Amino acid sequence: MSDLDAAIEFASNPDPRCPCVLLLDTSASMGGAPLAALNAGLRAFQVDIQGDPLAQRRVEVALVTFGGTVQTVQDFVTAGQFDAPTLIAEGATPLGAALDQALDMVRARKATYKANGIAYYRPWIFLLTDGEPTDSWQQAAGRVRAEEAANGLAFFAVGVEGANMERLAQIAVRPPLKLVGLQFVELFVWLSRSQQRVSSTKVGDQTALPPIGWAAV
Amino acid sequence: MAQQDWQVIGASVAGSAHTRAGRPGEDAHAWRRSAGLLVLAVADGAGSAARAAEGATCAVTVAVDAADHALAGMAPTTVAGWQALLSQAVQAARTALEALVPPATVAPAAGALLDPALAAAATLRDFATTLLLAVVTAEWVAALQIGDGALVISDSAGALTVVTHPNHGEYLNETLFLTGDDPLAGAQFAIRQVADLRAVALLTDGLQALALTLADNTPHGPFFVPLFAHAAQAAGDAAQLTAFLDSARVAERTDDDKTLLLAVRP
Repeated sequence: MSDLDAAIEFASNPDPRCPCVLLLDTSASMGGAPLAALNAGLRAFQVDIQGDPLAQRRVEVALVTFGGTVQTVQDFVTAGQFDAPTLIAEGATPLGAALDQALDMVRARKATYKANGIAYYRPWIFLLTDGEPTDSWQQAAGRVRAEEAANGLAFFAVGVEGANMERLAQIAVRPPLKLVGLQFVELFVWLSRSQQRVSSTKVGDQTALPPIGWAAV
Repeated sequence: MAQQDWQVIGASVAGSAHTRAGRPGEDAHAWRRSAGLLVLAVADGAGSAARAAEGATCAVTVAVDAADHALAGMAPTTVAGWQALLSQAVQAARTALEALVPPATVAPAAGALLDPALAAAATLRDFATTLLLAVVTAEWVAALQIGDGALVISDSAGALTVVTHPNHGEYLNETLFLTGDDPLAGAQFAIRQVADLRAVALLTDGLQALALTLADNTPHGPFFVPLFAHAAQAAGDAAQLTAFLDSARVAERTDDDKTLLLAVRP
């Protein structure tokens, strides 16, 4: 280390944050093989993202499930602190209420960042469902579309076998994707890699996401 | 009393994210010193733009040339005069970027999408870059900044001031570019009369989190003071500055390209 290098001290700033809400369908129809695959996917997500030193400090993960009721299983934690839960399947599919919960959490998180002078990236909400909403979803869908239009977040919808893809297309602005079989591990590794890219550096407004190998158009 | 002339050193170093992706550094800097005047520029080419390195280099070169040329007559004596000079220099850089874009092809005919030559045709976006241009005279510091970066000055007592500051949108990875629709509309102008100016630092966003407290955009003294002291006795040799920017402890904190351009009156 040179004299110059040794003399210089750095400012200390909090890491910028990249929030991501996982919005997961745990209704009764997900029971059995799909849910086992989903739980395996969450564990793969944890392992993959915790292998990236920058992403595990910058990406913040929250997990909301909707199976019977809407539950915040995990409020925002940095990815390094994320501990994949083992989810159980039960009840109906209150997707509308779940969307509202996720949107409220994103809004509150942004306010926290602002209040603490923390820079952040555009939040993601990542929806995974195998069914059809059993509650009123239209108003929440309107919020999703308004937020997308205002560049307030990026909303991704993935349908598992049995999902009403037409309904998903009415909620998400981006075309919903259909999961091939039960490739949850591939899906969540992709999500982890995407978050690593988004949070890695300043890349302008066109971050190229990794190729999607787990979905059919 | 005759003032000693400015000592200037600058370095642009590729970030680890760029090296990893096999991309070159996309930062650039340029400066010119003439008859008591100093013109300085740094630029940060957008990582998402295919020819950002060219864009950044072109922007700093042309902006410094244009400002230097405009100053050949007489330095402005009013804020409005400085604004006009800086705006013209930045406009010249924008025009030069536009000239890099190959002539527009006619509306694609059937099959044109299959023609790789057409698909590869560059657009202005491919040259996307930020630009920070500063002019220093005995009495003025005048700067124009489009996008991220910062300009920090010091008086002879070592008091630091942030003159222009990082300017990104709501999200960290969204900033303004010289290639945008109306780049001057979102530009920061900072024009101030100075009685006692000893040192100037221009930096790109790869160094922002090391050099500034970002919550309130205040300068971090222990970052700048040793750098200014070094620039004063480096006699124009940027080797140590480059080594510092390329050091492991900088790489631990930022994986982005980084540029530092320092001018000190010893």
